[in-house]
Amino acid sequence: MRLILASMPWADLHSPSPAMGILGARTRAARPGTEVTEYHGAIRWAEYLLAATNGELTPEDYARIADDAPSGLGEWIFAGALNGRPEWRLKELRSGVVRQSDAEIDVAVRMRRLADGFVEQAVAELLATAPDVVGFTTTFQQNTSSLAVAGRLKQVRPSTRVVLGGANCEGPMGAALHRNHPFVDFVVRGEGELVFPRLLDRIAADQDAAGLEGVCWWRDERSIANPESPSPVPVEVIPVPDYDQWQRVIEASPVLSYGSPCLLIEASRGCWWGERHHCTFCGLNDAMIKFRSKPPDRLWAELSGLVRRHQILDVFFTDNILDLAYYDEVLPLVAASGWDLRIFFEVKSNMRPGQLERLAAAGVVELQPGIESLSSRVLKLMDKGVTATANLRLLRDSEALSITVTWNYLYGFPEERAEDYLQVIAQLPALVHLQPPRAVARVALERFSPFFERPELGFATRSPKPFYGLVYDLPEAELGDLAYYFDCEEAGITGDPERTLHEAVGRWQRAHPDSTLVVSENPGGSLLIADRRQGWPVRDHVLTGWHAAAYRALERGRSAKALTDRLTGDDGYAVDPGTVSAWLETAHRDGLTYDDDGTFVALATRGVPLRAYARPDAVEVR
Amino acid sequence: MIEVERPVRLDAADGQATSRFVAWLRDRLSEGLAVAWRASLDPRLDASPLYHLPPPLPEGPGEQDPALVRWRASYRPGVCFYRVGPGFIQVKDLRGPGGPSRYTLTQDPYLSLFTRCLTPTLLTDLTEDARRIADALLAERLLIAVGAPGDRWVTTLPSRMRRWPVPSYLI
Ligand code: SF4
Repeated sequence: MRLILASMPWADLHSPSPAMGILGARTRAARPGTEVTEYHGAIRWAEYLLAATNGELTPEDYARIADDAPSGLGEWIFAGALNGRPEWRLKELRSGVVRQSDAEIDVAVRMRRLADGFVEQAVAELLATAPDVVGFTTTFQQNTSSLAVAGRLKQVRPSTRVVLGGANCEGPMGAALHRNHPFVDFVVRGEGELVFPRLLDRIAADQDAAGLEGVCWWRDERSIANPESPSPVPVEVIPVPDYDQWQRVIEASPVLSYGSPCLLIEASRGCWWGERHHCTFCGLNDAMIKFRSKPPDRLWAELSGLVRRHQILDVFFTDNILDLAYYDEVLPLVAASGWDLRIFFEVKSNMRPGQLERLAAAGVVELQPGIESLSSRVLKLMDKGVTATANLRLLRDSEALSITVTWNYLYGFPEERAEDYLQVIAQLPALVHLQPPRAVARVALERFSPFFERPELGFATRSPKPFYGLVYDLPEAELGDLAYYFDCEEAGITGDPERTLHEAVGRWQRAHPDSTLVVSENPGGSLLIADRRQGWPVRDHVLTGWHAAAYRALERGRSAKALTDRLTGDDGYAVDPGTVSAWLETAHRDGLTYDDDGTFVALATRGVPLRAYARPDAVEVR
Repeated sequence: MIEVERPVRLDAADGQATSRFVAWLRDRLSEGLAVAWRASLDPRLDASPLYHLPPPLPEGPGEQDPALVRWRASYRPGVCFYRVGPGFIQVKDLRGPGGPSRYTLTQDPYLSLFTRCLTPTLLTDLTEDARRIADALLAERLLIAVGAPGDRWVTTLPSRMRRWPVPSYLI
């Protein structure tokens, strides 16, 4: 059997597809006779754009569209090709449905005019080796490019079997994709490691897919959606991904020079926090949320093996959350390697002392800690399981360790109050030396999230985001099953507090590049806090005696009472609560602390990283 | 932040002293430390291969040395650096006008020469083979050679990326 696995636009250009890498390796192991090749359609499309426009539409233009999945622009670009009508919803894009600027829409329209030609090319390239099966993997905005190519491919060579799988096929979405696109022979819903090779067995034997868990298939004209497996795939059956073909393709491509190749590694699936407290906005499918992680020695073998094999030092972990066991059992091994890795990881922000240092020592350069908010009350509404104090500690301590923290400020949660924000906004000027959020955004309604599954949480009225109507020629009810992003009535803050939040974060972003607030230990036990923040007087605060002890104690975060207890207890100072409160008030007025509902946390950093931009006006967003 | 008290003379004729300072500056960058220093620049020295290292502070508001002005305008961290992996060294260089250059050094004599010249080395101490490699690396501006004929010192220019500038995704 000849199988081609395909990853179409808008997959990331500089990293391999773990889905292809894993399923390729799995298939070779489970069905040794199968010849597996990969089609890197995303890279081919970026090359096509470069060539067709004389280098005007670059991989950077590609990335801007690929990185903004909720806009749906990438899906729209292939919608004409999918619907066989180049003019399909072409004009409507400018009717205000998407929030992109005219210039961005112009780019999308230009790309759209090239999509048909690319689809033809892709079909020819796919069919050149006369495959028996073509398997498309789809996440984020890979639906329409995959469907357009699949549809055309079936017209040209109907005997080829088309299989669709990936995160976009989970649950009702996969069933809707199948029943509305008769040229898709099978959709695999859920994890494919076990069921995909079995599906290939059936295809080879010319049998239907009855009984294969999660698979959608055709009985005559009827789409049958087999129930999905209730038990997640154990990590033992997940092989080391095979990235050899990807590396050959990217290294021979002009796309390479537009970015840095990055390995994708999956240490775990699911989320150990979400298993018990699913964050209310998080669109992680309940069927997948069960946490499973690779044993530490296996993870280290996989990581070091892939780094050696591919000579790539940038490593992105696809995990939703870091397994806590790795702090002790994997990170020290990575640190001991002495390699200059650049690792990206998602973590939970409430770390124990020393954990952030371990991450940094292992080469974790970029963290996504799910900060989301700086109000403990709002974090509680999200069921996030962290406090604003923990978030601020992480932002503060990342500075001295040169760790990049990526985060967004989310708002719009039912039951949040304007006061929750006004308290935060009033304190944002004191945070300008810490890494600002990339964006401030109203929380989005995503399928599978508690907000989606439980309308009583506050988002009862919802409809698929309007871009789905510009992409698919399908009735509303079908779009409702196929969509992942939904519009809903606005909850929480609107109007003034919302506007003020945006403005205050904008000021933070602008002030950050040349703001520092650094604390250093002086000989003799005093502290020097050098304030060089924009918007604050240039000032050196010298703290001596119990003031210095108090500021050190606030690095963990403490209430006035807990601080007094600490000073008069362990530290042995004779100081009364009134004096401590008065000092706290002054320190807070000077912007040296953050007040998280009565818990004060020190804001000065123990060091400053080099900043990647030369001058404030050189700041740019990835 | 480290402050260098006296102005540093970057002298085209004094290969050893100039190379030592270049190597020192390169290694502070690698540690993620900001360095405040002042320079007196020998006009015979082509400083452009150094523009990835922290530039000297201006002598005063009116200071006009075009080489220093260009240096300050070109500098940002993460422009030319190397990283160590298992059995290889990777270099990324964004100084050139033609976009990024990447090199993966996997074999001797390249690997060993690159590493050896992290410590400034007299050109005449290199074997003929090593000198040919040095010429190739000099042409790519991965090494710099400074000094009078017969007393030329070669030094590796990229700094080791041990502490990434923030935000690291801009690099
Ligand atoms: S948001 Fe993160 S921590 Fe919360 S449930 Fe989702 S994956 Fe887990």
